[in-house]
Amino acid sequence: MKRLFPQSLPAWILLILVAGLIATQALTLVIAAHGVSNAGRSFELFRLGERTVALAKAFHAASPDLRQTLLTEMANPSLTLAMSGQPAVATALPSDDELAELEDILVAKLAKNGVTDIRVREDGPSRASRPPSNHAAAKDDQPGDVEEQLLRAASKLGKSGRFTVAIQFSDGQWLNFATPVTPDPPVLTQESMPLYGGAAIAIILLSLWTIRQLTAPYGAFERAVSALGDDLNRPPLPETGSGEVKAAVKAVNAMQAKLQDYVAEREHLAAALAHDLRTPITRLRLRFELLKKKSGTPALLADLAEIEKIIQSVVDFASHEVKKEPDAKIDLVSLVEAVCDDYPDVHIDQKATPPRVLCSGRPIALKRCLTNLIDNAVKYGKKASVSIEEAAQNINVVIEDEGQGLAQSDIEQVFKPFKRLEGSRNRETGGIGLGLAIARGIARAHLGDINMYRREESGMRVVLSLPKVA
Amino acid sequence: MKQAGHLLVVDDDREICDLIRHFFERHGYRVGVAHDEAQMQSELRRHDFDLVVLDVMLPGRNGLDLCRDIRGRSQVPIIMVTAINETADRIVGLEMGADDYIAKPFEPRELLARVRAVIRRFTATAAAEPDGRPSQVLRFDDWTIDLAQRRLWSADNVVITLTTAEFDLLGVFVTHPRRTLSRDQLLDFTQGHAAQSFDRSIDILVSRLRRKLAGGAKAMNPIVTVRGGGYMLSSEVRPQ
Repeated sequence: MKRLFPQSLPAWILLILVAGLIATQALTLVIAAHGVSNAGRSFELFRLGERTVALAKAFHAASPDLRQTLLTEMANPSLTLAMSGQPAVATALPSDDELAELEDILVAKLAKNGVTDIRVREDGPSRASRPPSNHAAAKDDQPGDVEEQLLRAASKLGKSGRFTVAIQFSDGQWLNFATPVTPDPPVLTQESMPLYGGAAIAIILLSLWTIRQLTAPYGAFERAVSALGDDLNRPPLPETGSGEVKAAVKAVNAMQAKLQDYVAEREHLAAALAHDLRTPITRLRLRFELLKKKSGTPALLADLAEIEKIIQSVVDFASHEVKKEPDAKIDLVSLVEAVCDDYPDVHIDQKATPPRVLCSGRPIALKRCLTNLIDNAVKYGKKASVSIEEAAQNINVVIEDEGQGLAQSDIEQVFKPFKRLEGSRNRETGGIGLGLAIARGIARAHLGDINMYRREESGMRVVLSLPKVA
Repeated sequence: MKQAGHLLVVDDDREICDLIRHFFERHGYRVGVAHDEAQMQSELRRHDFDLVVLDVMLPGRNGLDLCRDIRGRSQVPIIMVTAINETADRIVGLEMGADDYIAKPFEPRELLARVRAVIRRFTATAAAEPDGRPSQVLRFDDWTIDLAQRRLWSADNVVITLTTAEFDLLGVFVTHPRRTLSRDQLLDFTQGHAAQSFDRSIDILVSRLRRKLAGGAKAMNPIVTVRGGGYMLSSEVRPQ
C-alpha cells in the first residue's frame, strides 16, 4: 500500500500541487457556470415577456382570418403557434415565483389589449423525449393535447427545455405558443479547453521548476555527504545559496572538520602507541641478539614478532586512509610474486598469469593489502593458490584456499574491524582481526573492492578487484 | 678483528644506543653515540664517521631536519630509523638525503645488513664520482633503480616489485657492474638479511631476477652467467 504513494519530496509537493490545482479549477468552473446561467435566465425571461407582448398585441388586433394567416406566417423552428379554445397550459398555478411574477407583469401590461389571462410554464428537457401520441383536430383539443403538439414541434430544437405560454383573449380564444429555452452556453468549449489546459500545464511547469530549485540543495547535500564518506579531506562545500541552505552547508562543513579532527586524533593515538611500544621492543630485540646463552630465545622472539604484528596492524588500521604515499604505475604480477615469496604454502598459478599486469596505486599500501589477504588465506586455509585475471574493467587477484571455509552469513562479518570468527582468541591464529578490514579499506581507497565466496570444493575464494589502468 | 667501520648512532633512548653499540662492536664496528642534536654535532666535528644511524623521533628538532643539516655539510651515508610503517617519514627521509631507512622495531641483523650494504655501496661508487655522493638512483638498459627507496622501474615507468633478497642481489650487481661476482661473493654481499635469503640459493634468486627483468621487453637479459665464475651484470650502469 505504501508503494502507491510517492517516496520523494518533489513528488509529494507536485502531487499536492496538482490536486490543489484541479480542485481550484473545478471550483472556478462551477462558479462561472452558475454566474452564466443566472445572467442567461434573466435575459431569457425578459425576451419571453417581450415576445408575449408582441404576439398578444398582433393577435388581439387581428380578425379570425388574419389570425390564421399570422399563425402560419409567424411559425418558425423556434416558435410554434396555435389558436385554440383551450389553453396549452393545463394548470392555472405557475410552477415558480419567477414565472408567476412574469405572468402578473404581462397581464397588467396587456390588460388594455384585451388579454384576460396569461399562463407561462417551463419544462425541462426530459419531457421533450416523450413519445408523441396521435391527435385529432385542433377544435377538439384537450388542454394537455394542445401543449403536446406544441412541444413536439419545439422538441426538434434540441434537448433544452422550453417555455409554453397561453394567452387568453377577451373573446375566450387562447393563443398558445412554445419557444425553446436557450441553453446555457457551456463554460468549457472546444475553444476554451486548450486555454485551460495550457494554463494548467504552465502552472505545473512553473511549479516543477520551483520544486527543483527548492529541492536541488538536498540532492547536492546528499552527494556532498556521501562524497565525504569516500574522502574526508575533500574541500569544504561553498557556503552559498539561501539562508537555510547556507546554514545547512555550514553544519555539514563543521561536521567534516570534526570528523577530520577525529581521524587525526585516532592516527595520533596509534602513532603514539606505536612509538611508545617500538622503543622497548627494539631494546628487547637487541638484548636477545646480545644474549650469550641462546636457549629459549626462538620462542621469545616469536612472541615478540607477534606483538609487533599486532602493533603494526593497529597502526595500519588507524592510518590506511591517509594518502601520503604518491600513486605510481605498478606491475601487479611482480607485486603478487614478491608477497607470495614469503609464504612457502602459497602457489602462484603461473600458466594463467600474464607476464605483466598494470594497475595504478600506492605501492606500499597495495603490498600491505595483498600481504593481509594472503596471510589470512594461509592462516585459515592452510594452503593457498593465487592467480591474476584480467576482466573487462577490472584486474582480479584471486586467492583460493583449502581451509574449512566460512558460512555464507559470516562472510561480511570478517571484514569488520576486530572481528575474529573462531571466537577464542587463540594464539595459533594470532592477530586481532584487523587484517581484512585494512585490506578492504585499501582496496576501496583504490576504487576497487574485496569479495569473498565459498568454494564448491572446500575453503574460500577471495577476489581483490582493482580498476584497470586507462 | 679488522675494523669494519666507524658508526654514529643518534637516538634519544640511551639504552638503545648502548645496545646498538654493543651489537655493532661485536661485529667489528667502532660506534659513537649521541642522544640529541648538540651531541650529534660535536661528535660529527670530532670524528670522521663512515655512517650515521639517525632516529626520526628525537626531542627538540626532528630527525628529518637533522638529516638535511648533515647532508648540507657532509657526504656521510645516513640510515634513517623511522616509526613503524610511516610511509611519509620514509619518503621525506629519502628526499632529505638519507641513503636507506629501517623501520623500528628492527631485527638487529637487518640493521647490520643495511649498514654493510650502504657502506659498501658508498665506497664502491664514491671513487667513480670524486666530486659528489654516489647517486642513489641508477639506470641500466631501460631500467631505473632507486637503491634508497628500494624500488625498480621498467622502461615505461612501471614499479616492478622485488622481494628483499632479489632487490639486495640486484643492488650488488648494479653497484658492481661488469664485474664477475662469484656465488660466494654474492652470498657474502647479501647475507645478514632476513631469514628467507639464507635458504634461497643464489642460482634461484638470479633466475627469478632474470625472469622479472625479462618481463616486458624482449631485450637481452642483463645478468649473464660467467662459465666457472659466477654472474655478471653486462649492462652499463649510469647515474640518473
